[in-house]
Amino acid sequence: MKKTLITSLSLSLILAGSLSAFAQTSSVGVDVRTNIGVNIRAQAKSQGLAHASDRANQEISRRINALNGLLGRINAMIRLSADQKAGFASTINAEIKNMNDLKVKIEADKNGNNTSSLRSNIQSITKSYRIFSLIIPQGAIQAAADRILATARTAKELGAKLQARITAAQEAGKDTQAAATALADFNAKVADAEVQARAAVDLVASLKPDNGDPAIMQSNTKALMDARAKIKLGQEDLLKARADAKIIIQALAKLQ
Amino acid sequence: MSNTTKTIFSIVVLAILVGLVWIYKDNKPGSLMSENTTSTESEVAPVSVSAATDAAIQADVSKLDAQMNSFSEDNTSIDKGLNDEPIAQDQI
Repeated sequence: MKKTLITSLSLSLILAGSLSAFAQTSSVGVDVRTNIGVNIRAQAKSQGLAHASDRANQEISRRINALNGLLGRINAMIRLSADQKAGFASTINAEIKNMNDLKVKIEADKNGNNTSSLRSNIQSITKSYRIFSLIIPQGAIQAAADRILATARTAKELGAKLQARITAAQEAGKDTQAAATALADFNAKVADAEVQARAAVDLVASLKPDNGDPAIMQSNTKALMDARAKIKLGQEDLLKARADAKIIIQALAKLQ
Repeated sequence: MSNTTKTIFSIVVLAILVGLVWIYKDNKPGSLMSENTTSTESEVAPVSVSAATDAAIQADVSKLDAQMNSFSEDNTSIDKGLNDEPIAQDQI
């Protein structure tokens, strides 16, 4: 009887110890699983923020590069006054500053795991695209118009010299009909190139970002496309004037 | 208020309005190139035949060609600007 009692007590103690050990092991397992889950979620969030900020930075850098390129082109424009250049440069520089500021904020959002702020800053990149998408073609059209006007100026200087030579040949009794006809066309083409360039500038100069208004967006797009067509016409005029110049020079050479 | 006072007052108000319109017109931001390309675009003065040598003509032709060679660069810039697409941003 005594032996049986001792055996029962021993078994009870062993069983109780086992149950306690099992309970402890089970609790540790839950903790580990919970911790792993939290870590995975934190890691996924961190990776998501890093990816989002990387995409945002790519777009910001792309815009800054394009704006700097435009700035260089504006500074190289010949027909623009210093004040006008400064005015347009200030608009471009303001946009570059906005982009650089956003870059800093986005980096801070990423490092601070600040999802809501990052979301808001990424949204502002998307919103500010309306400014960028207007400034870039607007500036490019103005720069192209400036080139047409500068080229037309050179063509006029050439035209004046060709006129002097034709007049001298005429006074010497030479037949200058072919050269004179070509010069008249040359002058008309150069004059039209200037008209087209100015018209292109007038079309885009006062455009404002659409700020999400579809009607303004449509009218901006139309103005930019019309200006683009005028730039093309102006360039074609000058190419035709160049062909006229070749005819005049050849005709004058024959008269010598 | 007498009629004379009213008339003087009206003239003063009118003068101020005209002045304000004048100032606004002067300061209105216009085309980037409007001043240079319209009002002050100077014509090229006639040149004497002695200044129109073959060398001078050739120099102008070369300058013209160089300027026109840049047209394609300008066109590329315009088309790039018109067809620009932003990098799609992540939705977070």
